[in-house]
Amino acid sequence: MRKFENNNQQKEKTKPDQIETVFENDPFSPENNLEDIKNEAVNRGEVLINESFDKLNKNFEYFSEIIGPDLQSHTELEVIKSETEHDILSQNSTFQVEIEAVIPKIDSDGNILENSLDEKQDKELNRPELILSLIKDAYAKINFYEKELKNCSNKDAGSQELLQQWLAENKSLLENSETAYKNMLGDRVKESFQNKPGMTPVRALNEIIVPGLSILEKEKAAALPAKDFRIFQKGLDAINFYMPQGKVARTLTVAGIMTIASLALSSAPTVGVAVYLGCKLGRSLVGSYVGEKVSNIVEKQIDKHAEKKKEEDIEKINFSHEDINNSVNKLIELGGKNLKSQKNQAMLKNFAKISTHIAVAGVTVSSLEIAELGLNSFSSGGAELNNVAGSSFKTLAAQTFFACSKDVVQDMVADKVIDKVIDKAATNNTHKRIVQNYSKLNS
Amino acid sequence: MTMAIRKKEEKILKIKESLSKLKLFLNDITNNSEKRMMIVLKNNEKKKTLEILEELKKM
Repeated sequence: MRKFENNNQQKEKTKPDQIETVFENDPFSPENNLEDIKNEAVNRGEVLINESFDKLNKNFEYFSEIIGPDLQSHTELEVIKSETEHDILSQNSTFQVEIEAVIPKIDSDGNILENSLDEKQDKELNRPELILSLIKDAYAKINFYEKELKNCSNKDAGSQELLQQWLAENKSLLENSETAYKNMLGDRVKESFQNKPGMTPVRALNEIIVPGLSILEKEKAAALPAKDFRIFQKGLDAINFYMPQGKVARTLTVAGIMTIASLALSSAPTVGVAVYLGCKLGRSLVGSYVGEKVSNIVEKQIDKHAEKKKEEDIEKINFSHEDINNSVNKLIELGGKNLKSQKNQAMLKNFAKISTHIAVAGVTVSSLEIAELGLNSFSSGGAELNNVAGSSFKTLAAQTFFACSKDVVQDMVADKVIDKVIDKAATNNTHKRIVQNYSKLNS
Repeated sequence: MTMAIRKKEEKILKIKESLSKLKLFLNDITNNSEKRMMIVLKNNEKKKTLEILEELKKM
């Protein structure tokens, strides 16, 4: 950097977009050594980072001084400072990754190593990382701004307007980045069909799309507070572990998991809204390859709630317990008819899991009402599918419920729910054995 | 222009783009941070005003 200090003085007289081309000794001239160019770029990056930190520190000191002794305001300033520092460092890391990917590494003899900058590496390593970092960043900001907006009802219109503007900007950034990421997954699928012999749609789904989408959701979840992340992680693990084999089951599973995620993350004030969000998210996540029939089923559920949405803001909707119950059961019933027609055991398993996950979500958020809703869904779904699956369905559902609930059992709600499940499950020897095993686990 | 020079120029262009992007994002980050701090300040001032009003009412 020292080498080009004089040039920086000339910079002020030059239009910014001409800087690199008008200097006589342009540091970025192709005549220069690549390693020198890289060092110059890194140095300039460091200067920019340091300037940002300086500006941040000055602002922090200035506002701290004006604010006076108010503890709450100081805490808020500390939070902003810490988040900004994180953002600056994150930009620095992204920049470093970009530079490392562009300039080839040099070996001990000064030779340029082959393939340091080939397009494949750029695509495989750099692009997803960058997009994911943008997604994570935007998602964290959206969450933060939404919370700020909720607390902002009594604040001045100017603050609200700014927050809304940032929220909109970040939502747009998130949407664009997610589209770019999904397009990238699509490109990989196309490439794999061209380059890998024996590639099938199912393999592409399992090897590229599902892991890719999981990474995407994990990055978003990692931007959330630790407790929320843990619950969300559980849902994601469930998606991966219980990966359904059919489109119908896949959609229903994702919708179910997303319902739980919405509940667990408290992004939905009522179960009805959670179901609505679950359907919407489930569909958007698998919509690209979901069958038309299933898409319609989910769509109907969305429309049903969307009608109410027109009447008042979605967050103010307070569905009655009957509404919610009907809604979930309708979804399951419609899904069940599809499942029945296909008589696919794997789909039935996933159907059982949706109900049990809802019940577990109830336990997790300490709501007996939600937990009972899951159990009711479980029962009505069981009745719908009983002829197809028989007792194996119930056994499986009970097993799943126990497996999930032993991790989240926290209080009296859990005890009450478990008592109910045990009552429902203990109808034959297999179920009794499960109950006994479960009791041992908790004794 | 040889292939090697063209490739080198492409790399240099990418580096310049990265630097411009870094500058742009950092500006955005620090400006947003400043705006957020101003919101804190405004709320703080409002709070102070309300406290003064309360005091006045008591008087």
